[in-house]
Amino acid sequence: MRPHLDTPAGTDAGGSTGLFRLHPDGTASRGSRTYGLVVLAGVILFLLVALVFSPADTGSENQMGDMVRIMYVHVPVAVACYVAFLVTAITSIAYLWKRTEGWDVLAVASAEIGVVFTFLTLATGSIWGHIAWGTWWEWDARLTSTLVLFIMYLGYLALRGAILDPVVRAKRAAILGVVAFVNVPIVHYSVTWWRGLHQDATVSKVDPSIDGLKLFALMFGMVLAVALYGWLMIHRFRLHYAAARLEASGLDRALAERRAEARPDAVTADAASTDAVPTDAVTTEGTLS
Amino acid sequence: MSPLLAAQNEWAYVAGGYGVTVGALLLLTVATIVRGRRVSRQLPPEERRWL
Repeated sequence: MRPHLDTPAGTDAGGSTGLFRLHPDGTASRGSRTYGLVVLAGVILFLLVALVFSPADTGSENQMGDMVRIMYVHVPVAVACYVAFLVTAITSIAYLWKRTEGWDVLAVASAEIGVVFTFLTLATGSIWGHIAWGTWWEWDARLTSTLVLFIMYLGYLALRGAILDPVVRAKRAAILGVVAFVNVPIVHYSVTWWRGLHQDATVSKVDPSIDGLKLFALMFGMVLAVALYGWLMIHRFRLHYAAARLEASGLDRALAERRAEARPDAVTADAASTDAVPTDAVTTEGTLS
Repeated sequence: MSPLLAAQNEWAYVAGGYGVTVGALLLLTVATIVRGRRVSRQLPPEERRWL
């Protein structure tokens, strides 16, 4: 009998209740649940700061008004997508070096989250652009390079889905995970290298163009986005780890069944060969094994 | 356009931006939890190293 069936309703194996109650089949642990609740509280606080407490932008040269609030999510999700793809690149290199499954699982978990954050970067940027520039999309260097980044990592995930052999899949995906990361610095420095509609860096310079509660909302958003990425990584890593274990056990089972199917033939071949030429039996058994 | 209408228009875009972001991240979170439960249910408890 599985352990969770012995626990009373409404409690986990450790006896926790309420928000700390863990699902017996879930990917949560006590630590990840606490972490998740802290992030959730942070999200609520962030929404209050970003939408209620922080003032509209009226003092700066850009005069963005209430539209400045879009920046408090646009910049943080962009930072989180950089972090996600950096982790994919590092873990891909680690996989190519060590060839252990855990690095590959980390790489795919991070890439999936990165793709969602990149989509949100494009979506929130497009919404901001519609009111600031009067267009949903412009083939500006930053926007175009971000779209290319998004498509490259979609390709990374498609490649993983297209290869059945886990070892070949991990190796090819790791190579693409490293190559695709080259685009991240291009995205980041595109506003410096090519002049376009997109504004320059707002925070990553010595004298940021915003201050006070607006700067706090932006920085808080960035910390929160990276924290949320961390929480998602924990759960997606465990999910992919479980899927990889199931895939491996399925392959083991298939191999065992194949050997079981082959064994009676080998016995028959052995029995037949003892009456004939002994070397045939060795050849047949060798072929079967 | 009057300043009031312009401000309302800006808030509609802000709400859209936050709605898309919170919605997508909520969807990813729920999908991760649900799929995690479905997959780890098939795994023997001794192989769930996070427990």
